[in-house]
Amino acid sequence: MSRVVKVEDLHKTYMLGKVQVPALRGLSFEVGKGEFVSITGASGCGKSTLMHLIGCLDHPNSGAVYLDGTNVSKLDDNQLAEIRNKKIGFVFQTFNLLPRLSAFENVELPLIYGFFSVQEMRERSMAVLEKVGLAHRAEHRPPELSGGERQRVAIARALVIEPAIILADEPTGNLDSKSSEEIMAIFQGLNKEGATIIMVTHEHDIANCTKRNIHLKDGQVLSDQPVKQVCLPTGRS
Amino acid sequence: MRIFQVFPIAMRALRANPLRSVLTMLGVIIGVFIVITTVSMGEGAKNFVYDQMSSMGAGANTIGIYGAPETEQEELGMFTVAFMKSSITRRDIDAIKERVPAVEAVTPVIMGTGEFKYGKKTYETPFIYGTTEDYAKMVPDLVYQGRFFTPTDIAYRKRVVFLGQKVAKNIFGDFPAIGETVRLNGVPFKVIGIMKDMGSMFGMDMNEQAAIPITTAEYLFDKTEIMESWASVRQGYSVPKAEEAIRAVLLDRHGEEDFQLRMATEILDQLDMIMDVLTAVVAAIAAISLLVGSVGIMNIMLVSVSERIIEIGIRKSVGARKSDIFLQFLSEAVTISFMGGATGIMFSALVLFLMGNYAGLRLVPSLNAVIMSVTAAVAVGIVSGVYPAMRAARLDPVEALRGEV
Repeated sequence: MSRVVKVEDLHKTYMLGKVQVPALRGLSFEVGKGEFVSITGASGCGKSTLMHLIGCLDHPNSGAVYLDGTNVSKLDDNQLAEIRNKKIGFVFQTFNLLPRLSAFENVELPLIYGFFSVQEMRERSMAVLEKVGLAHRAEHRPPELSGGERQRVAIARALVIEPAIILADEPTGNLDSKSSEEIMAIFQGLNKEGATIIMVTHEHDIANCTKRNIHLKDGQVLSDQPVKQVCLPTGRS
Repeated sequence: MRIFQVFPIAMRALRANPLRSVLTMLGVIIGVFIVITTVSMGEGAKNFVYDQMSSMGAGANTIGIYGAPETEQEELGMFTVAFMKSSITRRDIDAIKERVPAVEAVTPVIMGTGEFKYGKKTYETPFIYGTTEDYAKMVPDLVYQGRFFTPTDIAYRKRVVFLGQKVAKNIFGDFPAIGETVRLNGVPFKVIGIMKDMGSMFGMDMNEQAAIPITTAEYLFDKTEIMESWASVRQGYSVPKAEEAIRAVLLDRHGEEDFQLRMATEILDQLDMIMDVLTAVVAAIAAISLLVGSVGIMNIMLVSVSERIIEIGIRKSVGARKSDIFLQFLSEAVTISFMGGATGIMFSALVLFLMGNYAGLRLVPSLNAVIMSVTAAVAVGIVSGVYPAMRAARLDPVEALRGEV
C-alpha cells in the first residue's frame, strides 16, 4: 500500500494577540492509498488545523507533511496553490460554493486555475456531476439547491481534478440526517472505487462509517485504530 | 489561469451589482464624455472653418484688405465687418494688381441686399456681392452652370447676375435659369450662371447669395467704397512680402494707414491658439474628473474585496495563485473603467451626432481624443485597481475561508 499522506512531528502555534496558542504539538501518522480515515476529537483539539496543513492551505511551525512523497512544508505559496489545484479535493462543512455561479461552473472552478481546454473542462465537470447524481441540476445556482445537493456539488468540485486525496471537514455538519446518509454513501462509494479520504468529524456514527479513526486530544494523537464499519451504505444506526 | 478567462469573471462580478457598477463608472464616463465632446467639437469647428475658407478662396495664400482701421470695425468671428465708410476704392484695387506682381487676383466686394422679381415670383436675398472676374480665380470650381463674369461685363457695367443655388431654386424651381431675365431692385438682369454648392457658415446659408459686376453694383447700390477684398498671392511668392507690398501701395495712395491688412494664416493661427487653450482647459477638467473616478473605483474595489473574502478563500483553496486573484480584481477595476470610457465615447458620439445635425456640421468623435481617453481610462483602472487587488491576493487562505481578515 503506497503512502499518500505522511505527517511527521507536526507543530503549529497560533498567536492570539500576544498569547501563543498551541494547536498541534508533535503529531505524526501516515495514510495509505485507498484508506478512509476519520479524525475526531473535541473542539480545539487541532482537527481543522491539521486539515489545513495537509490541505496545503497553511505552513507548519515545524515538522513536515508529505503528499505523494513530496515534502509540502518546504514549498512556497505558488507551489502550494499548484498542489491544491492538482492533488487535493476539499469538502467543507459550509459547502463553500460560489453563490453566483451555477452548479456546473462551481464544479469547473478548480479547472480554470489549471490549463485545460474548454472542451475538457466541460466534459470532466459534467462527468463528476453525473457521478454525484446532479447532472440534471447543472444549471442551477447553489441557493436553488438543497443542503444535500449543495454538498454533492462540492464533492463533485473536489473530484473534478481527480485528486490524490479528498479532505472533508465536517461534511455532514450542516445537513439533516437523511442528507448526511446520502453524503456518507457517496464517500463510501468513492472509497470503494479507490479514493483516499480523510474526514474530520465530531459525530461518532459518522466516524463509524469510515475504516480508521484517529482521535486527537490537545494537538496530539490520542488513539489511532481501525473502525469496524457499522453503518451500511443505505443508512445509519 | 488563462487571460481570456479573466474578463468574463470580471463581467459577471460587475453584473451582480449593476447599479453600483454604473455609479462607479460615472466619474470615468463624465471625464471621457467631456474630453471627447469638446475636443471633437473644437476640431470639427476648426476643420469646418478651414474647409469653408478654402472653398471661398481664402486659403493660406490670401490677404484680406479692409477699408477701415481695426478700431472702428466689429469682429464677427473670422469676418471683420466695417460699418463705416471704407477708404478702399476700385482704383486702389487696380493699383494693387498693377504694382504688386506677387498678387494673382484681387476680389473686391461691394455688399448690398436685393429683391429679385421674376414673373409673379419675388425673392429677397441678404447677400448681393458686387465683384470682379477675379472671384472665379479665387474660388475653386465656382461655376456650376453657365459662366462667370468676363472683364467686358465689368468694363461695360453689364446687367448680368450669377446666382447662388438657393436663389436660383427659389426663383426658377427646376426650370433652366440661364438666359432668363430677372428684375433686381427693379432693374432687369440677365442670368449668366449658377454657383456651386457653397454650404453654410455660422448659420448663414452661403447658397443664398448672388453676384453682379462690381461696376454695376456701384450704381445699383449707389456706393463705391469697398468694405472687404481678398488678394491671393501667386504660388511661390512670399505672403508676408506681398502683404508689405500691398501696404506700401495703399500708403502711397492714401497717405495714411486708414486700412487694414490681414493674412488668412493669421486667422488660422488664432483659431489654432483658441483650440490649444480649449484643449488645455478640457484636459484639466477631465483629469480632475478621472481622478475622482479613480478614487471611486478604488473605494468600491476595496469594498468588493472585503465583501468577497470567502470567495477569495474558496478560489485559493481550489488552487488559485496570488497572481490569479490579483489579476481577477485588477481586471474588474480595468473593466469598470474601460466600460466607463466606452460609455463616455458612445454618449459623446450621440451628442456630437445630434449637435452636428442641428448645426448642419459633420461632427464625429476625434480619433485622437478617443485613443487618449481610452488609454487614460484603462490607466485609471489599473492605478485604482492595483492596491485592492494586492490586498485580495495577499489574503491568507485559511483566514479568508473563515471570512476573517
